[in-house]
Amino acid sequence: MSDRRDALTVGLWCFLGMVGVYMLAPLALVIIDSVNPSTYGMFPFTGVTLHWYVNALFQVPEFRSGLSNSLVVAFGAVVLSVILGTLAAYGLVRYRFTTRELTQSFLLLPLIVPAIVFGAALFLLYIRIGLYGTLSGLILGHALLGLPFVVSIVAASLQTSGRDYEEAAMDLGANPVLTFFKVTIPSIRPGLIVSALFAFVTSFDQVEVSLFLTRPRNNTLPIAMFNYEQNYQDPTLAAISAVLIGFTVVLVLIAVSLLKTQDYRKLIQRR
Amino acid sequence: MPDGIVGAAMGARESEEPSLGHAVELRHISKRYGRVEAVRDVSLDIRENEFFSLLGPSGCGKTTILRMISGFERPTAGEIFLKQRRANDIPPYRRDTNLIFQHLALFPHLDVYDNIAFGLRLKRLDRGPIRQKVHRILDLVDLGGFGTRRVHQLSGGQKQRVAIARALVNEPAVLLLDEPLGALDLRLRVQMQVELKEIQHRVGTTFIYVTHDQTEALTMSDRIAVMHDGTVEQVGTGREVYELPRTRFVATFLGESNLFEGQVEERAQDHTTVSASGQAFVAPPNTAAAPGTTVYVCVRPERVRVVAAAESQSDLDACENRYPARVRDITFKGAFIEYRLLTPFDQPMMVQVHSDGRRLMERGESIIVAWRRHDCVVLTA
Amino acid sequence: MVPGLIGPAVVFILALLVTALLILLVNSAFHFTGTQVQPILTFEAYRRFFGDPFYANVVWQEIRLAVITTAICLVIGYPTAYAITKIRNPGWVIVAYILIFSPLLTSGIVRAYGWLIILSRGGLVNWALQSLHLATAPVRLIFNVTGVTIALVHVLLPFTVFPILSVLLRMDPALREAAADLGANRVRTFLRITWPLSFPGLYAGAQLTFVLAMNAYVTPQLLGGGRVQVLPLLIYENISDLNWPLAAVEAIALIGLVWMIILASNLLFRQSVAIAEGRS
Repeated sequence: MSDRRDALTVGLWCFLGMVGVYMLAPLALVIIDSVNPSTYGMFPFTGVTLHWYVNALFQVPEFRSGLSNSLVVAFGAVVLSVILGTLAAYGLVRYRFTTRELTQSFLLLPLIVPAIVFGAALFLLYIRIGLYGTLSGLILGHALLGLPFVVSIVAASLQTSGRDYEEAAMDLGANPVLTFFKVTIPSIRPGLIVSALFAFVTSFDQVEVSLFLTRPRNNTLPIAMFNYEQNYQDPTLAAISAVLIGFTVVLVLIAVSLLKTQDYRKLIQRR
Repeated sequence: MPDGIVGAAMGARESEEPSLGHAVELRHISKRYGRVEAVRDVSLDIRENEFFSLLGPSGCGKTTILRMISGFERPTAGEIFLKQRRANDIPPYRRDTNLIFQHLALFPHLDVYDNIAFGLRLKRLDRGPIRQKVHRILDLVDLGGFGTRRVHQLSGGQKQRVAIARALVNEPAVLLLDEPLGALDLRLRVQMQVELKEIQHRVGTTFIYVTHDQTEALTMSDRIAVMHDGTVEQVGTGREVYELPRTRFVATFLGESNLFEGQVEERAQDHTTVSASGQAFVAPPNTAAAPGTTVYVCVRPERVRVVAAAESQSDLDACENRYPARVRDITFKGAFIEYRLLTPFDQPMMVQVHSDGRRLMERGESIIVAWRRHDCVVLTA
Repeated sequence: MVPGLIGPAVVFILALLVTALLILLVNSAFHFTGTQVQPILTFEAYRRFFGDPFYANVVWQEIRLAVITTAICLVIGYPTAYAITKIRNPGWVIVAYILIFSPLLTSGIVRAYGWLIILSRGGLVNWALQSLHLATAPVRLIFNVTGVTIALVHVLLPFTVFPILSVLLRMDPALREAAADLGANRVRTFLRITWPLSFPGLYAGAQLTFVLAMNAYVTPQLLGGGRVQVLPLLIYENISDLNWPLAAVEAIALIGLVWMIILASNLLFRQSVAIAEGRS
C-alpha cells in the first residue's frame, strides 16, 4: 500500500524538489553573484569574473584578519567544548546520582537562552572583567554555545556503545583512566567527530554573540562581513560568502571521510 | 580451613581434599539495589580447579554474584575472598579474575591478536613473551593463524574462542563465564560445551559458569549451585542435585518432577510413609521429616514403571508403591515416550519410558504405575 | 569521581553564563542618564517599557511575525517531512537531507545576503517577473516584513522538518498496514492514523520554530531595512547606545514572553499530545 508510486507520491516528490530549490537558492545565487561582473544587479548575465574574489581575499584587510580570528576562535572553542562536554557526558551517562536530571537540563542552558540575550549579558560581564574585545573572551563564549551540542551527541554515543567494552578492559587490567583513552574514546569516535563539527560550525558562523564581544580591530569574519554589508553592497560580499561556503563544504567532507575510515589507529604498541 | 559453618551451609556430603584451597569464598553476600534484593545471604565455597556452575532462572541473582566476584559490583553486605584474600575493596583491574561477557565485548577496533594481547601488554611484558603466549593460546582454542583477522570477520563460534583466549592468556586464578553460549545455535552450543570442559581440564583454572540451561550445567560442571530468587537452594554435584533435590524448586527446575503434597504418617529408620491425596506413599528415610509435618514427595517420570493392567506384573514386585491409573495422553519424543496419566491421586502424573520397541499404551488403557521407595524423594521445602 | 567529570562544565556555565545573566538582571533596574549607566535602583526602564505603547507595538509585530513564520514553516515542513519518508532509494534520501539541512552549516549573514540578491529590485525574482511580463514595476520584496518572512522561513524550515521527520520515521509501519487491512484507504489512514500520531512531532517543530523566530536577530536586521522592529534588534541598539537598563528589560521581556507562550500552549495542547503518545 505505502509502496505505490502514484500521482500523490510523485506530487509529493515534486513538492520536495521545489522545497529543495528554495533551500539552495540563496546559496546558489551567492555563488553565482560572486562571479558577476556588474556591481549592482545581476540579470541578465554579462560574463564571469574573479575580480571580486581577489578583492575579498586580498584587498579587504578586515576579511583576512576576520578569517584568521574566526579560525583561532573556532579552534579554541572546539577544543574547550569537546573536552568539557565529553567529560560531562561521561559523568552523566556512566554514573547514577540523584541530581542527574537537573544537571542534564542545566547543561542545556546555553541553548535555551536566546543568542542575542546571551551576547548582551556576556558583554556586560566582559566589560567588567576585561574580556571585552579579546579572542579569549570569544573562545569562552563560543565554547559555551557549543557545549550543549557536544554533551548531547557524546552522551548519545556513550549510551549506544555501552559499558561492556569498558568493563572488558578493566577486567583485563586497565585502570579507569587507561580504559577511557584506550577503549572509550575509540568507541565514541563518530560522536566526537560529529560534535566537533557542530561546535566548529557554531563558532565559525556565529553572529549574535560575536556582535557584542568584538572590537572593531578584532572582528571575526561574520562580523566583518556584517559591517561590510552595512556600507557596501557589491559582490565582494558574495565572493567572501562563497569562500565561506566552500570552506564549510570542505570541512564536512573531511568529517565524513574521518567517519568512514576503518583504519582505527592503534593506541597501543604494535607487535 | 574454617569449614564448619560453610560445610553446613552447603549441606552435601563432601570428600574434602584438604590440600586444595578454596579459589573463591563468599560469606553471607547480599546485594541490594534500592529496595530490591538481588542477592540474599549467599555463602559459597568454590574449590581450585573445579568447574562450578551457578544455575537458575533469569533474575535469580547468578549474574550479580558473578559480577561481584569479578569486581564490577560491590556487595551490600558480606565478604568475598579470592584465594583467602579479602577482595571486597579490590577494583576489577587488580583482581586475579577474568570475565567472559555475555556479549563477549571483543574490541572492534583491534584485531584478534591485539584483543588477546591487551591484558598482557598492560602487565608490561616484553614483545617476545607476549607473542609466545598469544600464539600458544590461539593454538589451544584451535584458532592458530587467526591473529590478523578482524573481529567482524569471525563467526559466532570463533568469536567465543577469541573471548576465551583473551581471558585465559592472562592465566587468571578464576575464570568467570556469564552465559557465554547463549547466542549460539544448538549444535554449536553443544560442541562448545565439550570444548570448554576440555579447555578447563587442560588449563586447570577454576571456572565459574553462569547459566539458566540445566543441561549445560549438568554436562559441564563438577558442582552446581542452584539459585532461586537471590538465594542458593542447593549445592552439589550434578547427580546430587538431580537425584537428591532438597527443595521443590530444585526438583522442578532440573528435569521433570511429579510432586505430591502430603503429611508424614510414619518415620522409620529405613523408610518414611507419607499420606497424600488419600494414598500412602512409601519413601526413603528423611530425618528432617517429623510425623505430622507437611512434605512433598517427588517422583521423577523416568523412575516410574508402567505395566498394562492386563499383563503380568512380576516386574513390579520390588516396588512398594503400586497404583492403578489410566492413560490420558501419549507423546512420542524420540528417545523416550511420555505418558500423561489419570491417577487415583488428585492430580495427573507424568511418566517417561525408554523407546525400546515395546508396544505403546493406548489412550484410555488401564495400567499400573509403580516405583520403589528409593525412586522418590521426600522434600521438606 | 562524578563531580570531577561534570564539575568543570557546570562551573564553566555558572561562572560565565549565569553570572552574566545575573548582571543583566541587576542592570535592568539601574538608572540611565542618557550617556551612562548609574548603579541606582530606579526601575525606570521597566516603567518605560511597559508604559510606552511603542514597545507594546514592537512586541505585537514580533509575535505576529513569529506566528506567521511558524505557520508557513508548518505548512511547508509537514509535507516535506512526509515526502522524505516516502523515498525508497537511500541515495536520494541523503540528497534530500543535504538539500534541507545543509543551509544550517552556513552563517546567517551568507543566507541573508543570498536573499537580498534574490529579492532585491534588480534581483532574480523581479527579473523573472518582468521578463515574463507578470509585473510592470519592480515589487518591493526586501526591507519589509515580506522579505524578512521569506528569509526567516528559509532559516527555520530545517528546525520544523526535523522533529516531524523523527516522529514519522519512528512510526511503526504496521499501524498503517493494520488500518489498510481493516479497510481504510490512503486518505482515511492518513487522517485517522498518521496525522494524529505525528502530532507530537508537529507540535515540537512548531514550538522550536516559534522560539527561534522570536529570538532571531540577523535576518530581521539585514532584510528588515529598519522597518521591521523586533526585540532582538532593540536589544542590540540599546546596548550600543549604552542604555543597558532598557536593553536588559527588553531581554527579560523577550525571555519571559517566549516562556509564557510556550507554557500556555503546553497547557492547551497537553491533552492532544498525551493522546497521540498513548498516555491518556
